[in-house]
Amino acid sequence: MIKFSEVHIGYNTALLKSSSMELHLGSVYVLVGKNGSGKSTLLKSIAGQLPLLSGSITLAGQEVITIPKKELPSQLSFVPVQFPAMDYVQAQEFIAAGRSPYTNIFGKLTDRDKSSVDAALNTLKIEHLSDRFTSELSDGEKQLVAIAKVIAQEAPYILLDEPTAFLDYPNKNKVLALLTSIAKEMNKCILLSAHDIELCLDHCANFLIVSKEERALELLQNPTKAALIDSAFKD
Amino acid sequence: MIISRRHKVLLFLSLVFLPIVAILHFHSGPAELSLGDFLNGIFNYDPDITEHNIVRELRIPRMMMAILAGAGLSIAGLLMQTLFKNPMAGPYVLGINSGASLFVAFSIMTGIPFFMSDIGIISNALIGALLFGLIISIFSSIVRSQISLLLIGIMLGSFTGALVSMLQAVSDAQELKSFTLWALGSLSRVEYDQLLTISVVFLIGLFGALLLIKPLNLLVLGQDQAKLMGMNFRMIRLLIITITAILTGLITAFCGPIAFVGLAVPNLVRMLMKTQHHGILIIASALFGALFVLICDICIRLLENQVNIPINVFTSVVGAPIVVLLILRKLK
Amino acid sequence: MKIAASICLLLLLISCSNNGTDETNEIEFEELSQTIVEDISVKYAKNFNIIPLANGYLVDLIDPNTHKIERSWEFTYDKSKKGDDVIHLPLENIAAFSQTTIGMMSSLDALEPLMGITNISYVYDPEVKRKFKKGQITEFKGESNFSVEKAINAKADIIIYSGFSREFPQAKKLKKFGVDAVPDYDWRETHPLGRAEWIKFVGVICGKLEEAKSTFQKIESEYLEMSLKMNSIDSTPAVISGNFRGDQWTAPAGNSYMAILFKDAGANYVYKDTKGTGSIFKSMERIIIDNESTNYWINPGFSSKTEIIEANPKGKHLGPYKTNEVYCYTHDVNLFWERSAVEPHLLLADFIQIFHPEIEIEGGLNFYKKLEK
Repeated sequence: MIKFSEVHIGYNTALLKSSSMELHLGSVYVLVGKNGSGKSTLLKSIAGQLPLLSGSITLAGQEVITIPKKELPSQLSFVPVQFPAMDYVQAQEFIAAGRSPYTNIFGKLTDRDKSSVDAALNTLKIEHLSDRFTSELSDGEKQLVAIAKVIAQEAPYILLDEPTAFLDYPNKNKVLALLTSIAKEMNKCILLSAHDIELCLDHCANFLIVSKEERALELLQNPTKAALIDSAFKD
Repeated sequence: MIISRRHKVLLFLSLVFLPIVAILHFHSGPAELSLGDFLNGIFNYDPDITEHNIVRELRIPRMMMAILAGAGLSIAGLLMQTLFKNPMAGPYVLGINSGASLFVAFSIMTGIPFFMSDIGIISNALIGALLFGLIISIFSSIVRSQISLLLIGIMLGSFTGALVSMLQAVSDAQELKSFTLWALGSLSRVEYDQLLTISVVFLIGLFGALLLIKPLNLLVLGQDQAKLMGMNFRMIRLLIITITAILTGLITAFCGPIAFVGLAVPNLVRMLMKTQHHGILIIASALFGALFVLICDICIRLLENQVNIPINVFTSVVGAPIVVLLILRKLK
Repeated sequence: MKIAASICLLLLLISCSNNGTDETNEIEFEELSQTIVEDISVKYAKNFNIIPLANGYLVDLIDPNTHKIERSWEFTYDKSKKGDDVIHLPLENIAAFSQTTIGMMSSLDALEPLMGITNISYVYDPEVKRKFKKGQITEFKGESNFSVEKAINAKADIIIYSGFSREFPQAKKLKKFGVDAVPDYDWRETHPLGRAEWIKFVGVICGKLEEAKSTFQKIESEYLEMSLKMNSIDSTPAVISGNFRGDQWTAPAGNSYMAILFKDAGANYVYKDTKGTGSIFKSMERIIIDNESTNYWINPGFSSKTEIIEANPKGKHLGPYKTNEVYCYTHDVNLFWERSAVEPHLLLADFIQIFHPEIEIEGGLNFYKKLEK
């Protein structure tokens, strides 16, 4: 589980805080809030890319910043909002990059690595994209490939920064449904940020919002749309 | 990552072509030499026979230098392009060459004999290349835009150019002459003992680059992704710049500043190979780079009776249009 | 009236040379030319001409390729004359930007008016150095970063520049302040005596044309005497000149200044049959093939064999390098550039002594030295 205790997050001054909160394996958590409310900052802080101002965030009992950089990727994976722009990288090669924490110094894939990649392709039903260059994929396909990489990475904790941002309605639906089922079936803890409140309400039960009074993180379970909008967006 | 048939065929072809082109290169030149002269020059050397001297003292070193320069500069260019995720990056554009030039100018124009020796010039070229590599990498972490980084590289180049001119203005005629001769560039002044040093340093650079295949492949996904995949970015960046500086500095010290090889060849290779697997890209860049400079040098010799073109001028003449074509293709 | 007459004469001259078949004109021309032949006294130089006028001289600069007049100046003592191309004599403050000009002024014993040079470190002449120490000479550094203000401040009347850049920078502005700029194109001359003959041009400027004429006559007769002797010599050793620049060897072309000197000194210049008066370029291999058994190597541009090898180790394959017959002037570059143009007979003497060690000439080597180590 991801555990927050007495955390202050921000660049120089605290953008948001959380006295105590726990995110569990097997569930999807949706982070909602206005632009600039600190969603990306929170994700970066959990991923250990941004030092905390105070307090601690632990992954399965171990503080994130104390986890050696080389081991962190096998615990936690992160999907940034933008799919990287690059030429001549096949989908399967991109997904295989998720195996890099486990490969040797030359990055040689073992049979175990190859079967992980195949399994990820299979889970997302994108075997047909395997040989395509990522630069030629649609936005929806790119997002599926990005998720497949995270699956191949086999980390129990998965962070996604606005995974639905560039997708059309059917693809948003598809991605959210996929993530919910992955969390359940593979026992992952998934935290994603999103602006599509209605859609997320259809698929997920757990919402993280920043309370307006104290800029504290709050966990809402099965909120109504009105309650969610009220607490996340009203001034 | 996946090595396809295409890659194998292309690598095999370039491996076959390299000795063929090398033999062609070996064969080009004003002196008419028979096969016997070649074999004798190599295996049955007699220092009193002109033909043997030409084979042994001129043709072989020139061919070796062309291969090493092409391979080294292309690998250096590839590393820069991947590190900065910028296909227009290269040791010349980023000002790493000019760093080497500045320090060589400095070393020659001090007039201190040690600095004017081979070791002095090589070490100064290496230090200059490394220093400018570090400067550009510091800028790269400040400016995220690819164009800005290139502009900074160009500014670094102009700045050092101006410094070199200032040095020229205050140095005496003899030192000025030495520097001018160096800056003209030459593939053929190299001697065997120097070739040995160059080969050893080149191999160090090549193996260093091969050890970085995995982080280079990760860098293709971008700096942030690479960091998230557990890569120690600062250390890897330092290593990449060191290897680039070793290769660039080494070749710049011996051949003078050679432009566009490091820029054009890796782009060409990437387009032909259609991969980002750096195992393939490094080997292919080395092979194609060697071919590129060998072919350029053959052309120079064919044209020798009509015009005299220094190697760095010729590589620019051929390389610049290739780069423009690449940009146009990319925009389409 | 005299000026008008001489201009008529000039016109006549031009028309005659274009129209030489006309008999009556020819007679007249011969008659007239008799009267001026000792004044149109430029014999070897192809880049200038001096025509005496009533109160001075008309000096033409001639393009050696087209034989057309590039520019003319009237040097005159007539204060009333005005114009862009009029330069008033006597000139009391002269800046000389070319080393050869300084050498010629020195030969004419006309260093008194010299008040400006480019750089004292390029000067050989002890008298000029002495004047510089006393603060009577200003350094103008280069032509490219020349300061008009500095020239006016130093009260220069005329600047004699090298002419490498054709037009002197800001010449028009200088003229407004009464400072003239004229080029010393001696370096364009291919014949060694033509180069030396520019002493007459300098003589006009310094007001010492008569001295210039007699000095040149001495030089000419000494040079011709020596070269005549070498005409009949049996052995003509092979000579190569120049050095590598990058991958190419730069050597004087077959009709160049150096090639003429080599011929006059009784040597067989390896590339004497190449065309042109400038430089030729040869590949490294060509040079080594052609010069395996060459006897002498002139002007490698370095003052020791070690330096030659440092600059390009392939030099060691040349015949003269192996037999230790490499000669250069680099031990005293200033002496060479300042004096060799005005003393071609001494330069020729050097080459004769190098190529024919059996011939002894008083004074030994003047500019050249054998490279040791």
